[in-house]
Amino acid sequence: MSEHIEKIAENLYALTARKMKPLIVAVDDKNNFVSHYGELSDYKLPQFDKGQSCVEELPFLVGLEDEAYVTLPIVNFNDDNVSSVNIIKINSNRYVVLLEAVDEYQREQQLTQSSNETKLLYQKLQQLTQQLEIANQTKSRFISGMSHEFRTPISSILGYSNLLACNDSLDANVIQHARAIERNAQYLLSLIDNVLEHAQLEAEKLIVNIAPFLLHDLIVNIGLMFGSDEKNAGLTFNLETSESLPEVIYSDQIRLQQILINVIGNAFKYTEKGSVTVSFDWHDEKLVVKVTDSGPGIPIEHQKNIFQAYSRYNSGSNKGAGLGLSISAQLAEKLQGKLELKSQLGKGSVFTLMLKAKVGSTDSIINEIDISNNQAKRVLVVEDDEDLIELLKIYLHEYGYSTIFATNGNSALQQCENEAIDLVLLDMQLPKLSGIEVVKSLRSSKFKAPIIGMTASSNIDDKVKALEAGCDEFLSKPIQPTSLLTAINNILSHHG
Amino acid sequence: MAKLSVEAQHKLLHLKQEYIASFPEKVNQLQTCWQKLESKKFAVNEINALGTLLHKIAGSAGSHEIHDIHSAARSAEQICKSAELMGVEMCRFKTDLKYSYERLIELLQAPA
Repeated sequence: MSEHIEKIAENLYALTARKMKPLIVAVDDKNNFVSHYGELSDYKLPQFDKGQSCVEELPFLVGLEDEAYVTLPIVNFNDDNVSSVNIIKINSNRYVVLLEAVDEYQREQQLTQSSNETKLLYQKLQQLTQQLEIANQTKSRFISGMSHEFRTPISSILGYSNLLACNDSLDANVIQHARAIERNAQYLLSLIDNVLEHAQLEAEKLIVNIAPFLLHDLIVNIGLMFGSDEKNAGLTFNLETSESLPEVIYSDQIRLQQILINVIGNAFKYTEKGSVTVSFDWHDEKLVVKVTDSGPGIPIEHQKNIFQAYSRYNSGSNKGAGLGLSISAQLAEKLQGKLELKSQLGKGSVFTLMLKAKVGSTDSIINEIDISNNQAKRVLVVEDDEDLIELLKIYLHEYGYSTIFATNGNSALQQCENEAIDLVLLDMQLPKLSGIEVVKSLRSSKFKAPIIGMTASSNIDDKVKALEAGCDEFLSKPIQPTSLLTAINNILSHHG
Repeated sequence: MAKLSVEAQHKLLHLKQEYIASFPEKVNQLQTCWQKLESKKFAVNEINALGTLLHKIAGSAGSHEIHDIHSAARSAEQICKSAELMGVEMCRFKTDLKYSYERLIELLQAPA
């Protein structure tokens, strides 16, 4: 048997080239020394006499399981020997194979240390992430809240200044001053709306409404908005349209118009002389709108940040919060498109909006508001204003819907429970039980029919709250018959 | 798109005439609210009540496309809202609301 052991030891020597200092110590069933192969001094072991107990020097022998093969990966014994220990039991003897494991031991120590450090870093990172998330939520709430708080007094300033400006009995100078206040308050309001909209986009709360619309209407609106010589202060405004433009496309007309107003408005803002040209074209199922100006151009180093929030080239000009282009670019993405810039210093800029859009036809619009099947649909109108009830009754009957009415939230809840209703048209500013409370209560009682909220509030936050509570759509008052019909039809078509 | 039938247009016209005919009643409601407001020294509940009435007038006038009344009512409503927000003791609040309120009454009483 000892020959075999010698062979194993020789092999170990050859394999490790003595680097791992292999030593084999044979002990009997009482852990008394039998023989050894290798250098005992490598492990600071004494020269054992045959039959001498090895327990003191090799303490790991005590209490070992009676198994054929035992491995102890790293053992620290006998005055800091660090070794890997393998014990082979053959008949009544045990053969203790020792291999030096200082490197492994150090590596393990380092690994443990690194692992602990990583754990600590990870915990710290988690804490920081949580703090950042809380800070971001607080920031969004603050911006949203402050914007909301600012809106009301500014609306009041607008109201007052408008009243003053319309008062013929006042001195012309006073009226001029009132107009200046009104203009600046309007500007302030648009800044706040931008900040709020940016917060909504960041929080991914902004909703787009894809529906077919006439491109012609959009282009005419843009023409009317920017075509006035009086407003353009000597700049020429060109509007070009390609013959390849489809008549009707599917997109969000309001958001598309918002992007264009922002980009064209900027072109006018920063161009002192020359022209602003807007061209509408259609390429590869995409609407391509180019806004070209003869302004000062944007330096290359500012171009890469131009669509970042709060980034403003020419910061001394005091012309906005630097959110318009960021919002436009994000809105373009929401509409499956992108906004790009090409600009050369001294030669003007070209902003190109490319939107992927499905082509529709005038029939698609008519089909969208096909009223032939409406008679079967029953609409519950929840409105406390009798004048509006009568008006809505005329509109809805005209479009073929049958109607029932409730003038308060509790009555609406009862009707929804007892009657078959296909759609609810709900005033959000009801007395006592508010519109939001009605929606929440209906949704928690598993009421499935679509709900359209109506309010005079222009606050985006109110819209978000209504949609979050469970409204499917939101209409601004005064209610326009076309928007009412389009909204009802869109929603009912989605609800089958 | 979605043009109203002649019959519906007639109904709307009739409704608008009825709405205009209700102006004296609306003036009465406004005046009642205003008197309460003055007698209670511009307490919050009375301001809310006036704000609600103004909100309704603004909404219904807007829906009937009577723009001057819509915007006058909306301006007065906004003053009520800002008073709720910032406190009714705002030094210019009463004067401003009175001015705005009187302008609305004037428009409601003007011959159609």
